[in-house]
Amino acid sequence: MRILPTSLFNTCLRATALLALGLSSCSKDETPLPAVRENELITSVRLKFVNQANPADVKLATWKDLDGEGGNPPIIDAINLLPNAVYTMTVDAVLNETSSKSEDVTAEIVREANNHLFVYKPTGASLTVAVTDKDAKGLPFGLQANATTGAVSTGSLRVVLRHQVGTKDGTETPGSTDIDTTFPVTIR
Amino acid sequence: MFSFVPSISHLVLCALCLFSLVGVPGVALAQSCSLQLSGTVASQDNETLPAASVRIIELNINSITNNEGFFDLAGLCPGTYHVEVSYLGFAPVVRTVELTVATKLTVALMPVANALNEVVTTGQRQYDTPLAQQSVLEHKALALTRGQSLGEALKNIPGLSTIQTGPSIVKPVIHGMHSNRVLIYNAGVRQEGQQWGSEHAPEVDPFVANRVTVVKGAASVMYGADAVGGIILVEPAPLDYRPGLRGRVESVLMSNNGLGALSATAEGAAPHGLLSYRVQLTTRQAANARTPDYYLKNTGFREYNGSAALGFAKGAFTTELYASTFNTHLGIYEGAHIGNTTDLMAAIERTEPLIKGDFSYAIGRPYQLVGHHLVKFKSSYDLPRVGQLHLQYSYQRNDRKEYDLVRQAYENEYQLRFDLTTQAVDAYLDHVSVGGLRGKIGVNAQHQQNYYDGRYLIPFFTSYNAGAFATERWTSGRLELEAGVRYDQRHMQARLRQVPTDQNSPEIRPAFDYAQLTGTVGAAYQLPAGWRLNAGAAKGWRPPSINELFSQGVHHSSARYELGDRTLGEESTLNLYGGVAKTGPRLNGELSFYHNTLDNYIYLRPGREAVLTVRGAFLAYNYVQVNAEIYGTDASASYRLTDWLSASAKYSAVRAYNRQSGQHLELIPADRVSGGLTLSLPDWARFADNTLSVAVVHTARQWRVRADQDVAPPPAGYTLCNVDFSTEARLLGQPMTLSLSAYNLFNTTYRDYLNAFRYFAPETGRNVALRLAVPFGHSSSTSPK
Repeated sequence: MRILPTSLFNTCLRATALLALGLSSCSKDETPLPAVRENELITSVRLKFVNQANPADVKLATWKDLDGEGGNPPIIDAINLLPNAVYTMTVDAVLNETSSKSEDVTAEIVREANNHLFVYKPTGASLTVAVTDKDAKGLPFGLQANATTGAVSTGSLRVVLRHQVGTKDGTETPGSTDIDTTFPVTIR
Repeated sequence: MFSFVPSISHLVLCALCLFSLVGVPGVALAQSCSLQLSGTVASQDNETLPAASVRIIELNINSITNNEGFFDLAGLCPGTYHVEVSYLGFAPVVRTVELTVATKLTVALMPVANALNEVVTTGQRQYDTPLAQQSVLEHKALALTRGQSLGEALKNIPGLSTIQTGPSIVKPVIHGMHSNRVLIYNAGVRQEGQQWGSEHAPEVDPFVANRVTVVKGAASVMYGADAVGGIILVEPAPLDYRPGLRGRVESVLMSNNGLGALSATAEGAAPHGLLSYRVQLTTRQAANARTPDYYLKNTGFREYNGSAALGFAKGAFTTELYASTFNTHLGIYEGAHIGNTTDLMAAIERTEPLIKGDFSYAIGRPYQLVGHHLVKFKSSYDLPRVGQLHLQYSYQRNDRKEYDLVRQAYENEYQLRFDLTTQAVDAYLDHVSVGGLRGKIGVNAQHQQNYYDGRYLIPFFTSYNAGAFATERWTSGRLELEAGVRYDQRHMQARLRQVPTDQNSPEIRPAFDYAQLTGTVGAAYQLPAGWRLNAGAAKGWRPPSINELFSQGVHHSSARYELGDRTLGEESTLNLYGGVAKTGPRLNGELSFYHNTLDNYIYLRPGREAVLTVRGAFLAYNYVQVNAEIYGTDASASYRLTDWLSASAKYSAVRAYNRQSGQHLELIPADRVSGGLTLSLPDWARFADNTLSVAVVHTARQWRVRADQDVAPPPAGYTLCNVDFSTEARLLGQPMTLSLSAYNLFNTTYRDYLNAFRYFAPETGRNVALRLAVPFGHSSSTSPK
């Protein structure tokens, strides 16, 4: 409901408020906006596949959402693998690229391997993923795995990073999710 | 880092300026002490009560009513007094009288057996609050809530419920509305925290209050914008100008979470009676809360609060400086920390959480550190034949830090901080009766500045508010009429990056203007035999809050992505109410109805689409505006069966619809019905006023929710049994109040629809509370000056 001409009223209003509230409002507020700090935001996850039979056969696939939650949808690479092969799969990079220089979160995850677990869930495609590394307590970690392909097929691979502070027991159940990304998979 | 604008020196300067403006002429114009306070005392059935005692507490002077129930006290100085009226077999009544001119008081007393533990007085003719539906919590009923948070303390009042985030974050709900729609006045100052957040509990120490008044329904005319759902007034006792030092120590122990609360108040006045002071300190500490089967990890809290007041009164002039601080370290249930919608669904499917706690006072991440600091300076001056002029300046700062459970959890680093500073000036004239018309005319102005640091949730903003109002009440015999009008305007400017999550995005400064004219009318009519009718209409309004305009991001623990809308306009409501109340020797009760027509009602619409993030999918929730209606009824009755036994019952129901789609609104309290018995036990040895009461409270299942309005179906209804025993013991020459209460006596496992953590764990189990209040000190009785 507009009763008075807004601009005129505003001037009066602000003058009154300033006067009434003393000097406190006089200093023009030019406090700079705080730097964007998305806590432990992850914008990119990159997987690297090295064919154990042919080390020159290297495949990279990236899941990338540079503007973080919301905004533009993520850009997701497809994983293209040869049939009937065994690949050494590594989570090659986990990045936070919101700030001007990209920040690699991988080292931090490795440092806290005791609190983290990567889980791989292939669907549709003829693909199995077996975790090969362990944390300091002998529980699976999952930064490295063997990806074994079968016949020509298509499907997807879901990569989940579980954050399990003090509750890690080798299963996916405890903790909360840090990463939950799904890549399309083509085996041909 | 960011700097916070107003400094202490600034504050002192402001206070000094105001003092020099208002204080000095006031002192010069002292007035003689020749005022008269007279009146009549009767029972609720209009039976005159001769030989009733009338006492002015501050001055400790007494009078006795004559055969016509009339009393007369002369030679009084102007000021605010508490007048206690008592009569054998009736519950004593304390009235606050602002004595500026010769005043007549009419007091109606209620027989003792009707003054149930729950003193919920309705239709009480309080000049200071609107003629709307209201309830008051004081005396014994208030004492039996000590140690609880404000929200918990109020939930036994018909029409009130709570919205919770786990066991320790509790917010009051009035007629289905809460947060931005419920204003809290703490010691006369409009509480300004980040109240938009459902997990931001009111930063108020209920121990400061000796009375809590709840106005149910829109009250924007008297209290300004945002008063759409109602008002909660947390009122400390007026300063006591009797010379001497006295006070009170209250302690509470609770079994469920090992809560210990201690509050001490000391007050006194200088021998000449011009200066009065009060100092109050409170601490509350609790360990993990316990459901019937296990502890909820990380649900403890530590709270340290204090307040101090200094008053000066001379002649027609009174002034008061008040400061308070509230500091809490609040653990948030760790089991509610989840990553995404998949985690949420997995948590809902589990009947028991994976993470269980033990009995521990330790608080880890996630937690909140919240400070709320207030300084208030108020003065009043009596203008002969005009009225009382009031001026108040207040400064408050709300500093909220949130510590998430994150991988890079450096020791003391918060993930999110809000810093909100509010300054306000209120000025009004409480004018003397002109042709039976009494009222208030006033203006107020408010300035607000908000900063944040860390993760983006809401932007920086500066806002200016100004308002002018007039409310008048006309009384003639049994009829009371009330009318009021108010105009408010708010200007707000936000500062943020165009894309808040992009460091290189340009800064923008969108500005917003809101204004609204509101009005209220009300009437009350006193019928014979203690019946009273009231009805009225009130407008309320609310500009969209900062989160409704700008929020953008994931809300953890509910796995939703919330998105504000900068084009939202102001919300307004028309509240219609009507009811009947009865007071009498046997039957006491109230039946009331309300209907709110809400235009442009803002709410968070549950998402239909998922937002894909690296953490997986989140449901997108959008702030939208619809036309809505909320209506309902509150009923309460008590009946004195014998001299020693009373029965009581209460019922509350709320219905809320989207008027456009005809569908129910979400997060509306379920119907609640309760019944109770109160036994007055005979005095025994040193124990007097022994009262035992048992209450059974049934909360129905909220079935008025569609499947697409929630991620899980609403929990089942539940029935709880609560017991209170209270007594007054004279020990060591002091009247100590002792009570023992048990909540959820049968350790029932249940979940409540209005608890955001209902997906993860049940509510707390049995809780036994022991409360002890010990007064100390004494006052030298003085004769009237």
